[in-house]
Amino acid sequence: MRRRRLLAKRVVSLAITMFAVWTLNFVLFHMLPGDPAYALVGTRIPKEQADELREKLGLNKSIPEQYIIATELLLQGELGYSWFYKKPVTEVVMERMKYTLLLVGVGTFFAVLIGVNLGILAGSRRGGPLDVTIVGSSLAFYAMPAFWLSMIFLMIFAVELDLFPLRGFTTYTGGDVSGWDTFKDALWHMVLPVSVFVLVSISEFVLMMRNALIDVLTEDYITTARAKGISPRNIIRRHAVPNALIPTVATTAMFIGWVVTGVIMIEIVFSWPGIGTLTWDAIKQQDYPVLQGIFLVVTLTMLLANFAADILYTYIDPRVNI
Amino acid sequence: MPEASSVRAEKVRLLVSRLRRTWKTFRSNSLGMTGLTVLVIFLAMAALAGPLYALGLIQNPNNFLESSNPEEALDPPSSSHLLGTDERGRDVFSEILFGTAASLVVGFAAAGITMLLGASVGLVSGSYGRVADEVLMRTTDLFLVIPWLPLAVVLAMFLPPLGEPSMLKIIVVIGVTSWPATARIVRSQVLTIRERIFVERAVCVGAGKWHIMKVHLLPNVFPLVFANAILSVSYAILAAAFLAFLGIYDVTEMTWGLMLYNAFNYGGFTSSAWWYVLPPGICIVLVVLGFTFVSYALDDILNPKLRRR
Repeated sequence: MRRRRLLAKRVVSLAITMFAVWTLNFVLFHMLPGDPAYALVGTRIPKEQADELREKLGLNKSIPEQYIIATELLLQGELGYSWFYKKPVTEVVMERMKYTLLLVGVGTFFAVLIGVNLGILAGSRRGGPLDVTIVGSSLAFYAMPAFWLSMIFLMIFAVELDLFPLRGFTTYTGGDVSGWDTFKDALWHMVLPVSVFVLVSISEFVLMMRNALIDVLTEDYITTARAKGISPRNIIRRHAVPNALIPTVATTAMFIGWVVTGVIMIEIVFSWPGIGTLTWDAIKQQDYPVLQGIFLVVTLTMLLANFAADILYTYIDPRVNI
Repeated sequence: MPEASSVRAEKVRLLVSRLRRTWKTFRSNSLGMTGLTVLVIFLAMAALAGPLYALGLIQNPNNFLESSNPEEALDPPSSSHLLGTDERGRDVFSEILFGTAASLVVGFAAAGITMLLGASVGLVSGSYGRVADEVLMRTTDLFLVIPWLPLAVVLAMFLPPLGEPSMLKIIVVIGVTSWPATARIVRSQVLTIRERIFVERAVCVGAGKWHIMKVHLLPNVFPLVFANAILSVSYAILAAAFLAFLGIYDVTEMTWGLMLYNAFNYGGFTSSAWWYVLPPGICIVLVVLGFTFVSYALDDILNPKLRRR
C-alpha cells in the first residue's frame, strides 16, 4: 500500500514536471525570431497572402490562446509542422529516432557491461597497477570530446586503413539486396560509432562502480564474510557487487537521459541519420518546430528514464524511501 | 578586551598557516601535482602568445588578412610551420597558442558563474525555511531534467544581442545551464553542517541567519565548493568546445573548439590533416585532465571522510 502511494506521488510529480517543461518550451520558442508564414513558403509571396496564411495558421491569436491550442494538439500527438521538411514534426522525429535508439541502445549495453566489469576489477584491486591503469585510461577517454575521438577514428580506421565505411547507416540505396546483406552492412557501419560511444561513456560506469565497490567493502557485513572464511573472490562476487550495483541503476538511468543529447557529437561526424544530425540540421536551417519537437521528446525521454530508475530503486533496495 | 585589529590580524595569520598546511599536503599528492604542472604549462602557453607574437615568432590567427596564406593551405608540419597550416594557410601552432587563453578564460569564467549561482542557491536553500527550500529545489530539479544541449542552444540563440554569439554570451550560457548540479551539492552539505552543535549554539545565543551563513556555513562549505569549482572548469571547457563544434562560437576569438569546427567543416578533416585535428583535441584532453586531477586531489585532502577509508 505504501509503495503504491509513493508511486502515485511520483507519477503526479512527473506529470507536473512535464507540464512545466512544455510551458517553458512553448515560451522559449515563441520568443525566438522567425516568421512561420514566410519560413514555410519562402519570402517571395505578396504581403496579403502572407497575412492570410498567418490568419489561417492561427498566428494572430493571442499568445495564451495559441498556448491552449498547442496544448490540445500536443495531447493528440501533434508536435507541429516542419518548415524545412514540409512534414509533421512527429513524422520527422520518429523517422530518425530509431537510428539514434539503435546506436544508443547497443552502445549503452556494451558500455555498461564493460564499464561495470572494469570497475569491479579496479575496485577490488584498489591502489594496484591494474586499478591505476583502468582509472587512468577511463579518465583519459572521459576528457576527450566525442566528436574529436570520432574524427580520429574515422581518419585512422576508415581513411588510412580502409577497414570501415565513411558515413551513414547503409551503403546500399535500394535495389535488389537481400535482408541478410543489409543487416551485415548495417553492422559494419555501426562498428566505429558504437566503439567511440563505448569508449567515451565507459568512464562513467567504471568510476561509479569502483567507488561504490570501495564504499561497500568498508561495510560491516563484508568484515563478517571475511571472518566466516569466505574466499575473497566470492566476497566480491556475491556480497560486495550486488550491493554496489544499486547506484549503477541510478547512473544508467541518468546516463540514458544525458546520452540522447550527447550522442549528437558522434552522429554528426559519422553522418549517422539520427536525432543528433536532425538537431544539427535544424539549427542550421533554423527549423524551429523541429527543434521544439526534439526538445520535448528528449526531455520526456530523460524524465521517463529517471522515473524508471526511481521505481527500480524501490524494488532493489527496500530501505529507500522516495 | 583584545583590539579589533589584532583579532583580525590573528585571523589572517591563522588562515595563512592553514593554507600553508593544505599546500604542503597537496604537494605530497602526486595526482594533484601532475594536474597542477599541466595547468601551469598551459597558463604559460597562454601568457606566451602575446609576447611571441610581438617578437614576430608566431602569427595572430584572429587577424585574418595578416595570417592567411592560401598558397600554403593545409600543409603538413615543416620547419617554418611546426604544426602545419589550416585551410586558410594560417599556422596551426600559433592557433593553439592563441587559443589557449580564450579556451581557459571561457572555462574559468563559466565555472565562476556556476559557482556563484550554485553556491548561493544551495546556501539559501539550506538555510532558510521549508518553503524557500521547496521552491528553489523544484526549480533546480526542473533545470536538471532539461537536457543541457537544447537549452544551451536555445539560450544562445535567444539571449540579446540576437545573431552572432559573443564570448560573453557563451560564458553566460554555459554558466547558467550548469549551476543546478552545484546547488544540490552545496545544499546537502549545508544541511549536514546545520545539524552540527556549533550552529545550534550560535542560534541559541541569538545569531541571525545571515551571520550563521557568513561565519559558520560559508567557511565550512567553501572547501567543497572550491573542489567542485575546479571540476566545473573542466566541464565548462568541454561544453565550450562542444558549442563551438556546433557552430556557436565567437568569430573574433580563436579557440581550440573553433579549430575543430574549422577542421571538420572546411576540409581539414576530409584531407586527413592530422596535424590540424590532433593538437586541439590533445590540448583539451590535457587541460581537462589537469583540472580533474587537481580537483580529485583537493577532494581527498579536504574531505576527511574519504581519508578514513
